[in-house]
Amino acid sequence: MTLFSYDTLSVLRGECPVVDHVSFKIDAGDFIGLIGPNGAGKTTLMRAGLGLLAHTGVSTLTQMTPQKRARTAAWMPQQREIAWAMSVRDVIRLGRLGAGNASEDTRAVDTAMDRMGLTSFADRIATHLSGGEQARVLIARALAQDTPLLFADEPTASLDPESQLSTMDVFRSLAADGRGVMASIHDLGLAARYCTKLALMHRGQLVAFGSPTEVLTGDNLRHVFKVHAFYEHTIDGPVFQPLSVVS
Amino acid sequence: MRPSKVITLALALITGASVVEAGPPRVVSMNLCTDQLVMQIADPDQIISLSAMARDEHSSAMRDEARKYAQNTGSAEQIYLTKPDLILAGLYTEKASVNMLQSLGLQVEIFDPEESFDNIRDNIRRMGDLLGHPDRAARMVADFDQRLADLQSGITTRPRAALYGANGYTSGVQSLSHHILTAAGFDNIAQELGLTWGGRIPLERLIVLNPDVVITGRPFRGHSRGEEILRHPALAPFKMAAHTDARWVCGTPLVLDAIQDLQREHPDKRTQ
Amino acid sequence: MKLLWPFLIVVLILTFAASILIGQANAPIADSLAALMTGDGPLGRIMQDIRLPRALLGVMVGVSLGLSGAAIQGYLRNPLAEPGIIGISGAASLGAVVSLQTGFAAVFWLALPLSALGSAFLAVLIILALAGPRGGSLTLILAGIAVSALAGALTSLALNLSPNPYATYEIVFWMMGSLADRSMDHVWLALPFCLVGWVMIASLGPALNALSLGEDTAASMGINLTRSRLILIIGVACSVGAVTAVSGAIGFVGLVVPHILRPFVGARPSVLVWASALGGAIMILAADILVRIVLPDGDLKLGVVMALIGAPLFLHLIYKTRGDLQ
Repeated sequence: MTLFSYDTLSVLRGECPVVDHVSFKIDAGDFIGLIGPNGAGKTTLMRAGLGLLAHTGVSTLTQMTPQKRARTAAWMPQQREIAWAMSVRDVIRLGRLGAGNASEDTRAVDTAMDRMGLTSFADRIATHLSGGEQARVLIARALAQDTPLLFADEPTASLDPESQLSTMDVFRSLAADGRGVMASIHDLGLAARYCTKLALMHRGQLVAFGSPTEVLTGDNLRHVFKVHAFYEHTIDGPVFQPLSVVS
Repeated sequence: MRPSKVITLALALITGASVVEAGPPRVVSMNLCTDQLVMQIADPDQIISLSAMARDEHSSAMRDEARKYAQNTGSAEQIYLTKPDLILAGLYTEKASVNMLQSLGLQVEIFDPEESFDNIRDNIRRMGDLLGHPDRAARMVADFDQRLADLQSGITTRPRAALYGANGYTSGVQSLSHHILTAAGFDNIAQELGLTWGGRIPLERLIVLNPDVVITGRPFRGHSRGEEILRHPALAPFKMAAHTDARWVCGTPLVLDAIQDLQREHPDKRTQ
Repeated sequence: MKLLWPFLIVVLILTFAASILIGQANAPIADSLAALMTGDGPLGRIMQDIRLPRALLGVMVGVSLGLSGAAIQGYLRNPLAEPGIIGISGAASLGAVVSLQTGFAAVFWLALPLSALGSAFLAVLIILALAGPRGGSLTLILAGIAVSALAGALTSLALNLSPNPYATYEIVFWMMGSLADRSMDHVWLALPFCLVGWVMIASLGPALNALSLGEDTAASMGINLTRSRLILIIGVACSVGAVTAVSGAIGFVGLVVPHILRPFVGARPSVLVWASALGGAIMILAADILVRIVLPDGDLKLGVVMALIGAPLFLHLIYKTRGDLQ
């Protein structure tokens, strides 16, 4: 079942389309990797989809009231901000939106902490943790929101390999549970291994949408990313590694 | 023509000396209180100019008469150019101007502010001497004493009064206001507090002291927080009497008018 | 910290009682309390007309400044923000002085607090516009300095132009604040606006919590940022404007109180707002007691005590956060 869709969504900055007539759907079970070079419009696309930016065209989330939207989609932006020296548990509990009852909240928070391996950190002050640990706290907050959809902007940036892999595991299992996850990712190797579908953006336009094999073709890599890459399906799953810049 | 004058004229013609009319000196006054004494004692044509304060609607008891005379700004240059014989200043008149006038060779007489009735008498007499009217001054002092005695007759009770001004300030025993108050037949609360020139009485303390009468100053135009205290609800039960006004400011016989007005609040004198 | 609330409430009650019982009249406690109830005699007048309004105003000022400080800090995510430092109190003083000196305050009953409110509103608008989305420290403090300086200069000008000779010396009251010689009239004057302001600010709890994670996240969590901003501006203008109109500008409370209480509430903004309300009331009452003990017959301004405590703390906070200054 379709959880979310874009329909010819465009975002204009002045005359210039930063996002240009993009359409695709997120179904239950999808883990969509939003990929593309810097400046392709990935962040803008997600923010517009969440109603944080003005846009033309349709985003099913924007059509909802802010309260319903908050219960439908959780957002983890690229700017990692924790303004005050709150405990990890309190930061994660912010995701509960203060709406549910206490026991549901506790359950959701504990589940989120467990999933992100933060249970031993529960009472530590979030702002005293390392950058990578804080990122995991913020992901846990988004998980605690317990929504059908999860959008994340560069969730694996600045994480160590273990955390990167665990986070991608979490997202994939969320999708397998019947939710829809969309994350923008620079690491194409991770994207190829974990995402069910990839959406490739270039200069604001959706250039390709489909399985990793369909999207990560040599043509696309040369044209969009300007790189040559090693891409093979091995016994341990797909392996992708950029090799050299196209001259 | 009288014989003495014929002789003087003849001598002058003989000696060729220029005749100086031994008339009263022409004066400039630079201080509100000397302004008023001058207006009360001097001949009108003796007065060259008075200070600007003489016309001040709030502080001058003789503001209307003062309009008949020229006004000086207190500037030494301006005063020097009017060629006065005598300059009258107060203790707190701008020192730089006073020193300048003295160094220019002019006679400057400094009058201390009047803090008691004795000061008033002394200043009247001194002013009379300086202005060339000692007899006028003596008469003024005699009238003052006579009227003061009348005002003070028949007083048996002495209600307790508080002078209460902006920011809660009161006048102590070394002030003209105190003597006006006591001459009118009241006791000054500030005396119970041992205040000399005066000081601030916090509102609570005033209420505890529980005076029979509270006398405030006349409010200025415009708004000030300092004067708001005089409208505080806690003061409402007190008998608020006539305001102090311009006649309380300077030591001249006009203080007797102030005393008479104040006696309207006095149980022994109010029917008179 | 579960003990925080009982602690704050008990201390508040004690300081309120002390404020009512301390003054030049120096009567025994039992007599004072009896006089407070009956209002009889000079002591009764002192208790009901002088001590009670002073203590009530102390609470109102403290709650307003504490709430506003915590709310502004929560909104801007900046621990250095507070109504005095960023010029809100100074602007409110300006509005009050202008309305008093032009006679507008005498036109109708509520003209005075409304004027203070209006200029405070303007100041908050300017500060939020200048501070930008992240409320960066440097911009914020510089904007605050500019607004404070302008408001202070214009206030001084207005007072100097007054025909009343006492007005010139009032600048100290308006800049440093005082609760002396206030009456129940002042309490009633400020109370409606304070209540409106407090209710509005208290309603921002969820928004302030969500804003801990940044504006983007907060918006995605259903917070209407524009509406929250407006509620904050109006709430702060109402409460700070009203108390400044009757007691002058008192600074640093909104800085010191949230800073002290933050560790005890786990740094959660929505809880800190309530705690700061109580803490602000306690701090103002305590400072007001101090000015009456240090100079019983004098007129020591409340703001002097607050500045002596708050300014060193402000410097300390700047030092601690100097790495974040942009």
